[in-house]
Parts: sequence; structure tokens; C-alpha cells
Amino acid sequence: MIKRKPDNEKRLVEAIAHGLGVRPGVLNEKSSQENVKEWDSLGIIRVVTELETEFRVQFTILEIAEFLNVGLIKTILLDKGIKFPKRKPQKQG
Amino acid sequence: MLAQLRRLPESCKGREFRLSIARTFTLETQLESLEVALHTLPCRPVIRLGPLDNLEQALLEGNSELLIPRPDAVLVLWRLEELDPNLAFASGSMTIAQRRIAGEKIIQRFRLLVRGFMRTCHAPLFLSTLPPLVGRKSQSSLDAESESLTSVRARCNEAIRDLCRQNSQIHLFDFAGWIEQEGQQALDIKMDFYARQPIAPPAWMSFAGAMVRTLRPLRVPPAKVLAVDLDNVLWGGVLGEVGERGILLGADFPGNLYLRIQQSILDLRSRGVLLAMVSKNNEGDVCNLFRKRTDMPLQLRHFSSRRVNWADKHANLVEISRELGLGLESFVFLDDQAFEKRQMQHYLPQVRVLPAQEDPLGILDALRSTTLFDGLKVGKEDRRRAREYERSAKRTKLQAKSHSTKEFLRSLRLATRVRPVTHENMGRVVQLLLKTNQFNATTRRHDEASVRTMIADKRNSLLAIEAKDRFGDQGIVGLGFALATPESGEYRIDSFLLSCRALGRGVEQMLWHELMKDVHKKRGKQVKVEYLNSGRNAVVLGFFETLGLKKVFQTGDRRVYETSLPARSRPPAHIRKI
Repeated sequence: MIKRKPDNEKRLVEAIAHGLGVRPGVLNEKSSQENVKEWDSLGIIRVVTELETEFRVQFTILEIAEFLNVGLIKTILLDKGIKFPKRKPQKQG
Repeated sequence: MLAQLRRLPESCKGREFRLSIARTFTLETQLESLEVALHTLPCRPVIRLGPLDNLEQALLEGNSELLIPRPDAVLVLWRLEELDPNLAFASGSMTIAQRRIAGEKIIQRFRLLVRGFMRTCHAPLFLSTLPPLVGRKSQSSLDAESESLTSVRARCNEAIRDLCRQNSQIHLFDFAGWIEQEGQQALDIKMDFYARQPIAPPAWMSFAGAMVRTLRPLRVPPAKVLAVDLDNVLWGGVLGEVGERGILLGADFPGNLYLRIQQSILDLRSRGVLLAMVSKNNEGDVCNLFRKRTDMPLQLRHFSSRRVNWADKHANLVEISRELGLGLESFVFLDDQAFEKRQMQHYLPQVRVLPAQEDPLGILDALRSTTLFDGLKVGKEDRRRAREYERSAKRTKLQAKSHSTKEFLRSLRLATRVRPVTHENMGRVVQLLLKTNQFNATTRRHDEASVRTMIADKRNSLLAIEAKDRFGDQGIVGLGFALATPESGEYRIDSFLLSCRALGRGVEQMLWHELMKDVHKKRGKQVKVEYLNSGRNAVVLGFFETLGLKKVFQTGDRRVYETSLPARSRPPAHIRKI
């Protein structure tokens, strides 16, 4: 049986969505306090808990301070060795 | 899980339970865990959180959002970090005297808060102890600064315990004790810095469970009797097979485990739990063993009743329940054998079986962690309960020896004192309201807050009766609550109850007489007496018949009687008033 690699992108978005109490569909890499009203300090605490449980990692307090949007959170997870699929470069012209 | 609990039919969830929490740190993230834990009471939880850092506003202003919804309980969670950050984090730059003064200021704040709260709200108030500072490593004993901070915190916690001891409305939530049990891993220094949320997520459920365990006695009356098996419970081995020298009990393994089990059972007794012995054994062997092994923590005199024979244990338990005059729902059964536990559950489903494993460590763990005996406070009445049941057995013997009931009652030299229900005797009053099943006209389980509201209306008559006889003082044994109705001169008997320990000796008659007298004094002319059939309180009907009350209404399980004042009742001749 072929064992599929877990889709970390999906896991990331679902964990953040669960923490904030929103649908995963409303989130993208640019989602932040500016455009998601549930992205408040309590929401962040829940997101941290969700991600630490989901990816079995620990964030430092300075890393948590950088939880400003989904893209930044992903970068922090990349630094911790969590792999995300590379995006295909967009065709020019 | 919470979604499933919320979807349960209303009938499964129980009554609403309004919990208001004043706190100095973030709890918002843990509300779901708390709601799940509260559902186990069972109840429909409604939780309100007060603003951070504004305890006075939350607890002392009658129109605060915590107090407006008439909470069933108010919980205060606080820490030294917020109560006095300077003391918590910069005590190194303070002198010993300054640290002491800072501690005194905190204690004074506790006292003012409690005094003010009791004037504003009648709900039970649960104060948490102050936990140790988050992330503070234990320092060397030479570190005077750390030592002093520890002692300031200890003094604050002792002051909180004192407030709980002195006021029946105030109860303790041992936050510090919970951390001691869970260890520092239950705390999260990172989240404490980031969001003032000190409890680590893996410990949220445990924290919620600890809070709910403290609140549980508000809704669930504690069990009264622990019925224990002997072989492989109080000692290792089967006495009938290995003899008294062969049983395992002592300082070495595995005897040390059985010693701890006995000690834990004795601890329960000191909290007011009655002990009963139910064992398949030869009674002579068992008595011999207890006589010889005076080193055992448990002695024969600690058991209020015993059945050591070869009959079925459930049949023995029914006999013990009759002997002690306590319903089977008051019993918890402890046995190592799965077969015995299954039999008990099958024949007597009202009896709660302690879910202990067969091995002694499992039994010890079950005894230590059970919540079945949890009460709000261990009071004077609890501590003397076991002795009271011993006296009760002496009364039964005296009755058997007497030629007539009249002679028995006279020889008891019974005396009673009737007093109004006050804040001072509230603990025992609420305990009686929660526990009395048989002689209880309405079985209304009023909590402290409701009783305090009733007391506040001076037209109401709320009386408690104390009884003593030649065998000893029984304390408060009965209650009568007559509430003024909007109709002029009309009263309604909301509650009328007597502990089964005092039943059948004329105390109920004396209480009724005094209650009617008091209502008449308060210009009452007509009294409506309610009886609500609970399935266990038929004995009250017999008493109402002797009073010659007029039945004016009956539907289903509810009957209403009526009487005019002054009543024709007389105090029993054999009871002296004190």
C-alpha cells in the first residue's frame, strides 16, 4: 500500500482555522489581523496550541510574536523542519 | 465532545448552573474544558468571566455582570503575580519588613473583598489559594529572598483558609494544591508571558476537573457510608485460609499498601464517613484478628455496623442500611472481587460501587481519588457523625429493653432548643437540606444562596431544632421554613424536615409546635402545608395526619394541607426546652 505523505499545507490551514474558529476556506497566506476579525490575541493563543499539538513543535515567545499572518507562521514552521510543497512558479507573459 | 454534550436532550443535562468567575489571569481559552467538566455534575453550565484585574468591581458591585445573573457559585482565581507584581518579581530589592507589609496588605484586601461580597451577594464564594510563581525554580535554602516570598504566600493562603473556616458562605478551591499535585509541567511560562495564561494546554482538562470537583457538592450530596470487604482489601490474603499470622499487613511490601488503604479509610471516617464491614468470613476469626492486631490503623470500634457471615453481601447491606437508618443511595461499596461488585450493582443499583482494580494499589488509588464523599466543608457535625451513630445504637438497645415507648422516651431525658436559621449555622442547615430524604415534606434542595435570600425577608420564619439526650448532643437535627406569601397573614411551609437520627421521639412535634408559634407571632393567620411525594418520604404524611391538618388540594404527587393559627398543637411532655 502506498503511504501518502501528509499534506502539511492543509494541516496548517486547518489548525489555524480551528484555532480562530473560522472555515479553512476563508484563509490564505495573506490572512492576518487586518482581514480576519477572529485574529485577535485569544485567537493566537488557540492557534499556537493547535499548531504545537498538530506538528509536535514548540514555539518560542519571540516566534509567537511573529504570528502576524499565515505566510509568516508557515515560514516559522519551515525553520522547524516542517516541509511544505514548493509552489510552481507562475508563467510569465 | 462539547458539541455532543450540547446536543443532549435537556432532560439529560440537569438544571442550569450559573458559575461566575472573577480572575486575575486569562481563562478564556479554557472555557470549553470547563464547560465539558461542568456537564458531568450534571448540569447546563452558564459560565461568566469577570474583567481581568478588577476584582473589586466584579465582586462588590451588585450590578456587575458577574452578580446580576444570580450565580449559583462565584469562583475567584488569583495569583501573587497580579495581586502584587512588585512583591512577586522585585522582592529582592525589598526589605523583609517591606515584604511582610506587602503580604499584610494582600490579606487585608482578601478580608475586605469577602466582607463586601457577603453584603452584596448570597451565592457561595469559592476562593482559590495562591499558587507558586510560574517558572520559579526552587532555590537553595540559603536564598533568603525566595524563602521570604514563600512564607508571604503561605501566610496569604492561611488567611484564605481562615476566611473559609469563619464564614459558611466562603469555600476553598485549592489552586496551589492542584499545582503541587500536577507539577510545574502544568504551567506554561511562555503563554504566561505572552497572554497571561499560566495553565499549560495539556493540563486544561485537569484544571477544569479540579474546579468542578470543588463545586460538585453544591449539586450532589456526598455519600455517607463506606461498606468495606476485608480479605485482600484491609489486608493481603484470605484470613480463613492463612490465619491471622499469614495475612499481609505491615511496613514491607505488599503489607505497606494495605496499611495505607486502612489509613485512607480512617481518613474518610475523620471526615464524617461512616464505616461498615461486609465480609464473607467467620466473625470470630475477624474479631480475634482485630483484638490482637492493635497496630492496625482500623479497629473494630471504627465500624458503625458490621455483617461478617456467609450470606450475600447485598442482603447484608440492606440490613446495615436499616440498622443505620440510612437509604441505600448513601452507601459506597468497596470490594476487590469483580463478582461481588457485579452482584451488588445488579441487586442494589442504588449503591455506588467504588471502581477499584483488584490489586491493592488500584484500591488505594480509588479511595484517594474518589469524589463520592466530597462535601463543601468538613464541619463539627461531620466529625461527630460516627460517634452519633454509635450513640444511636445505644438508644436502640435502650428501646429494646424498655417496656413501653412512653418509658423509653422518658428515660432518654430528651431536650431541644429551637433557634432561627442564621449565617452562623448555615453550613449544617444546607447540609440537612441536601441530605435528608425520609422525613422531608418537600425535598427542596435549597442552596446557601436561596436560604440567605429567605432569611433576608424578616417576615419569614426559618427555624432549626437542636436535640440532646442522655447519650449526647446531636446538634441541629431538623428544619422548618415558613415563608410569608403575598396574601396577608398567609404562610406557606416550604420545607419541613428531620434527620432520621432524631425521628420518632417527638422532636418533629416540638419543631412543628415552635414553628407555628413563631409564625403566629409574626401575625400569621393561615398556614398552607405542602407535601411533595419523592417516593421515599411517606413517613411525613403519617405525621401530618397526627396534626389534624385539613387537606385542601391533591394532584399527582402534590398535596396541600391547611391550618389556622393559633394552632392547637402542644409540645410533647417528655421533651424539655432549653
